Amino acid sequence: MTDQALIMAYLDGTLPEEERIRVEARAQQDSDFRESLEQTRTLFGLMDEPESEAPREPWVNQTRAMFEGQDDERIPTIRPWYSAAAVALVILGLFGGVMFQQNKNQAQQIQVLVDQVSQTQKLLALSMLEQPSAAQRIKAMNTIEREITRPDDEVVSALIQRLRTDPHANVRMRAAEALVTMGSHPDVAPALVDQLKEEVNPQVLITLIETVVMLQAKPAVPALQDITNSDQQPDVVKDRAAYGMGQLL
Amino acid sequence: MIRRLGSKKKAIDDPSAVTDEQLMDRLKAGHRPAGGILFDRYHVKLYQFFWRMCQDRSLSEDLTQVTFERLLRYRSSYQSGQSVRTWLYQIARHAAYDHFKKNKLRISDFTKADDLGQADPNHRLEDADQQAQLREAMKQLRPELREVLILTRYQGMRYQEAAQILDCSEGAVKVRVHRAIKELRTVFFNLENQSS
Repeated sequence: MTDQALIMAYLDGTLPEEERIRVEARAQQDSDFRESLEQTRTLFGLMDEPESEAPREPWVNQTRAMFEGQDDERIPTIRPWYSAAAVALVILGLFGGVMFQQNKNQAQQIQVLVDQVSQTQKLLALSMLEQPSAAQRIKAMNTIEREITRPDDEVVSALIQRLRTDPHANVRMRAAEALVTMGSHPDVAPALVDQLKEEVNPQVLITLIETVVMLQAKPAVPALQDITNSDQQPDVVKDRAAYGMGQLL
Repeated sequence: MIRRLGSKKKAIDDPSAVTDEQLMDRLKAGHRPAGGILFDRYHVKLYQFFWRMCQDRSLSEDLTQVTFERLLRYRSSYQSGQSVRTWLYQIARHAAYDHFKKNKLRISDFTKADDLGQADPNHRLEDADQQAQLREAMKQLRPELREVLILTRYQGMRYQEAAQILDCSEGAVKVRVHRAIKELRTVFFNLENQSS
């Protein structure tokens, strides 16, 4: 133990009795050691004084307001595993019925029917994505996220198109969120990273930053770096980008 | 008011009976007022952490605000059971680091001279002078040594917790603290000799 460590342990009262006596004896005989002990004691005394510095009251009230209000409003969505479980149950039920009846033809017919329903749902959702109302387009994305458990290229492509071109920021944000749930598709992460370079709306940018972090899309780092260095972006976006970069590096 | 949204979303009748980790779980579940209680518990300490680092009141308030904004923004990444205090200070360090990096400044560049002379009016003049001298000595320490002293001596953290926040071993924290005190002692008493 160094002398400084010994002195600190002595002043903090963590030394055993025998060691304490030894320190005190040394302080009597060794003037340098005694000086170090007294100086450290002075510093500790000053550092132990109650902290008087505090933030200003208006700041406290203003900042605390971010936690006021009601619970978060969230668009009710069915979690993916619920959807998966529901689909699995339906399929099991169908197969159970088929097994029970031992009728291969009927099973094939049912499968065709299931595929047709799924295809219809997809087409319906894709057509809703083209609706003039932003609310309808967001609703379409909810449906896609909820109902289409295995999105194909067509669905992913339609969502990417919305992300890139939709004039409404909320729709672009919702598209980014929906795409994250399809993160295993090879086109998703590159599209989100590309959009980081193009997007101008701060809220959408923040959502995009979160999505690339969630997907651990490391190619996003240069785009995040650009945002951090940009003079055009508000601080809140730059902070998010810097934090996102920290998560990816 | 008790909300009918399940146990995680009930109003908190007695905040003192709820742990930080329970509050964070509720905030994560979407119950914003739980974050308000965490704010009440930590905003002064975090402010003082920043203030000891940069000795700038406005900047300390800004960085404290950023820390809580990030707490809110990234609440979904909180892992249940994780120490909230440790997590908050990790966020705080990142906030400070981001700020100084963005402004291409070192923390030691970022002290306001007019703050250094401020002191608690209840203290004796000599004591106030010594506190100002201590702040000046702290300012001259390297940021990593200043930070470890602030966490362990001013914020009263155990070495183990400081190690988690600083992402290093407990042994490394001990060594850093001893080195910091030794350097601080030298700087502080040199300043005293210069002024006398």
